[in-house]
Amino acid sequence: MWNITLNLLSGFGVTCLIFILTLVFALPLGLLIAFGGMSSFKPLSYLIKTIVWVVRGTPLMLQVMVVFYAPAFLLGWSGLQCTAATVVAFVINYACYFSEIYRGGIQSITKGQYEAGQVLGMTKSQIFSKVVLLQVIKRIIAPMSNEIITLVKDTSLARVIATEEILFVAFNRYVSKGIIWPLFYSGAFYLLFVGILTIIFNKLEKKLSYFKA
Amino acid sequence: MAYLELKNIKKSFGKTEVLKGIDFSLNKGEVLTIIGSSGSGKTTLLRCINFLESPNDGSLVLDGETLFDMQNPIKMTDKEIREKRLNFGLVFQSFNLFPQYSVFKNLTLAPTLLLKEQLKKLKKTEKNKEKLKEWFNSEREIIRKNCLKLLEKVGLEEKSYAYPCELSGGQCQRVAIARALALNPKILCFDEPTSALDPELTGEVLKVIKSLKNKDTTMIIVTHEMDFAKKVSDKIIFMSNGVIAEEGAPKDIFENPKTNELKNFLSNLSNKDGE
Ligand SMILES: Nc1ncnc2c1ncn2[C@@H]1O[C@H](COP(=O)(O)OP(=O)(O)OP(=O)(O)O)[C@@H](O)[C@H]1O
Ligand SMILES: [Mg+2]
Repeated sequence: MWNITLNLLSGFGVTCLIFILTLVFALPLGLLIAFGGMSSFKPLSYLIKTIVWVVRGTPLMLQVMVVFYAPAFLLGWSGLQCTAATVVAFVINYACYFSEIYRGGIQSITKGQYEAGQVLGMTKSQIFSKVVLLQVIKRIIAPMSNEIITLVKDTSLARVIATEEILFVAFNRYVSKGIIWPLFYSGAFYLLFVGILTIIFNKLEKKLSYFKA
Repeated sequence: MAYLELKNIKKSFGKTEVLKGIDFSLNKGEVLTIIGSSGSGKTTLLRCINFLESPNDGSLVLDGETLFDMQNPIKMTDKEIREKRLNFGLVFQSFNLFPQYSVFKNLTLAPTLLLKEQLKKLKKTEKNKEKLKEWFNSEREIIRKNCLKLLEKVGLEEKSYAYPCELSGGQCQRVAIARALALNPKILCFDEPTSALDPELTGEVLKVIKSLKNKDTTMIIVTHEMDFAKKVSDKIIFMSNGVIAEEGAPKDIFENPKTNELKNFLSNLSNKDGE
């Protein structure tokens, strides 16, 4: 029992690592992609829209496999180590999903807010950071929390390239040898994680409930 | 020469010419009201004056300084546009308060940002950090005091720490007026400040605007409130189809309209009242 817990915990560590690294890189990258997609420079916005379409239109599992195998097969590189490949694929995938959420949030702010900032002599970046940003954050918390909770569970897709995240550990070490209950045990880890995130997002939502936007 | 002088302002959106050559001038401390039917270009004119639209032709001179002249257009940087824009204030029909800030912060935000920019510039030359900090703090105190005074002026000092969502429409618009005044614009513009309000709330806003009238405050007001226009204006412009069809003192406009357009406009209004 203690042994199983330790093994699952080390798998859970990998799960958390994928989760955190994906957020750290995909949250800002998504914002860049959102701005690129809204750019008035047409070639850029078309390019970005195509990329987003491809990434959102194909399974994440396929993308993980492509990032892991393609460099070796096509270019003869040694390729990435499995956790790194997983993170790269996840960052690209989630940045595209986040970008759509950002875009929706940014475009939902009325023109009047920007113009009010302009006539008060603010610069573009002041208008974004002081006027628009918090309103956008408030509006995207709900869709973002959905997406981030999905990410927790999507990390299990990494087992397709033998990344030793928690579900991989539970299955390969125990279920395949006829011990089923670590599967339920690993489920409890996900539940706990998602539970904590839900509490955090609820707190955040409450914190921003003092104004209407 | 007049305080504000607009010459031949033209503006098209695509193929539709919305402003077809607007000329007017205004003296310091005067109140100009712009009336006219929907779509005649009133909002577009205010937006050109506030640098939210760039006109296709025409010039604007304020207090002896040419702010733009499309005959000899110069490429303006964002910074120059911002500086020129600060000569004007604009109060929107839909208030556009910043919902995440308290009433007080709505007023202090823009002046404080400007002050911080000034500080940044001074930091490059001034060595004495202590003195700079002192200066900054005292300037910020001045901003705060001024904003409090403005809130008093619009009768909302007790709402300083309320958020816009907790205010009525009339109160929101009064905050928006105070916010525009906080930057001390040379000319304050209003675009139908009471059109988004319930009838019983228009009075409080119009009262505030009227109270601003003095020898130093120059205002341009677009409105459909004719009684108000009659009382507050020194001069009225009637716009029709992108041109000034008639202009004059309130008495001339309301009691002695010359053009058919204005006669129709006024009789339509009185018909509406009679319904
Ligand atoms: N950004 C724009 N693009 C295209 N057309 C515009 C734009 N802004 C205004 N117009 C057109 O210009 C004309 C004048 O509009 P404007 O808003 O200046 O009228 P207005 O006199 O303020 O009317 P109202 O009393 O209804 O506010 C309208 O026909 C409008 O459709
Ligand atoms: Mg209008």
